[in-house]
Amino acid sequence: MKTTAAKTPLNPVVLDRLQALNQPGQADIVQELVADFLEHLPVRSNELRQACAGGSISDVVRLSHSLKSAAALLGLEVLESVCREIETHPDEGTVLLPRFDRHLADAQAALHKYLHR
Amino acid sequence: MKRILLVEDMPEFQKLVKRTLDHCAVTVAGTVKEALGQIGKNDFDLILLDISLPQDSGYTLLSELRGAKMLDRIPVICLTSKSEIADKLTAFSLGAQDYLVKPFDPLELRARVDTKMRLNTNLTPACIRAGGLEIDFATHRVFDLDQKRQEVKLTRTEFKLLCALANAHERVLSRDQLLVAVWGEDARVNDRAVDVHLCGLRKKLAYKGPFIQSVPGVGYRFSAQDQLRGEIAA
Repeated sequence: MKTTAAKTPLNPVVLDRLQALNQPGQADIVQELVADFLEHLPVRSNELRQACAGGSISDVVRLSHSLKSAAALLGLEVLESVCREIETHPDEGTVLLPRFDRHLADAQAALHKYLHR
Repeated sequence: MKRILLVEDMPEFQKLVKRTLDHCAVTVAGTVKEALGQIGKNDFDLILLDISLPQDSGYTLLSELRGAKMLDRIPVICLTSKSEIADKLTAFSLGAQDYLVKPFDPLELRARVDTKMRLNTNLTPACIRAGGLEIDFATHRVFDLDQKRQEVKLTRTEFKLLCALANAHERVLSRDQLLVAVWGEDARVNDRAVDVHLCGLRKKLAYKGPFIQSVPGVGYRFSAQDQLRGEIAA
């Protein structure tokens, strides 16, 4: 399995690049994307946990793939990395879940910190 | 404003693409079934397609569009997290014109979309001017430019025949090629039907009828010296 040691919970460069899309008079795109991500996170992560615990391999792959994409969009590198590991090794989902939960909490904290910087 | 169908189930990417392409009208479909419904109801200039979708995958939609011969008219750009070369090759083999891996740079997406639509517009101009005729694809009308732009009334079949010949740029088209162009590959029409309809077309084109030349043993061509292509000015 890959190591996630060199990556950071949040790469701010990714969000800064998205900020470039903001035009005067428009809502802040980063605020909106982060809000969407945080809104859907509880359901997505619970579905993934349940799938790892007893669902089908295809569900584990699909759900981890979705979370991986969303994490990558926001520069959540470590969370993306562990989701990629689950997607690649879906049968080891339960083993990877504790790390997933830890990185999920770190990602949430990093997003809140970015938004309130 | 150009119309884009975004086939994507994740709200974050829906929002990001809409903002990135705010110069276009973006319609969102979350599943292949929804996308097919939208395509049946609306004309789109381009489709952005995620591969990993709930229920059917994006490959299913590509196959459906290819089966319906719609990929020549509507370019598809795959927008997906699947970065393996096998996934890319599958998408291209099914008719995708481009492939962008998530997470993408919004500016790159915008550039690719604009380029694809510009190229597609150039390939299918709104009209052709050939042999003193103006053939308007959007309205299915033909005008005689030498007769104060008087309209030449054609049947649907005659119009399709004229389009096929004019688009061939003086190349000879066989009866079989014209059959496919007008009636489709699965049509059960005798190739003599081509001759009959071309005879009617020539009569309606009056003195321009001879522009449609019969090439013995080969087929037909539309030959005019002053062939010009261009879009109708808005």
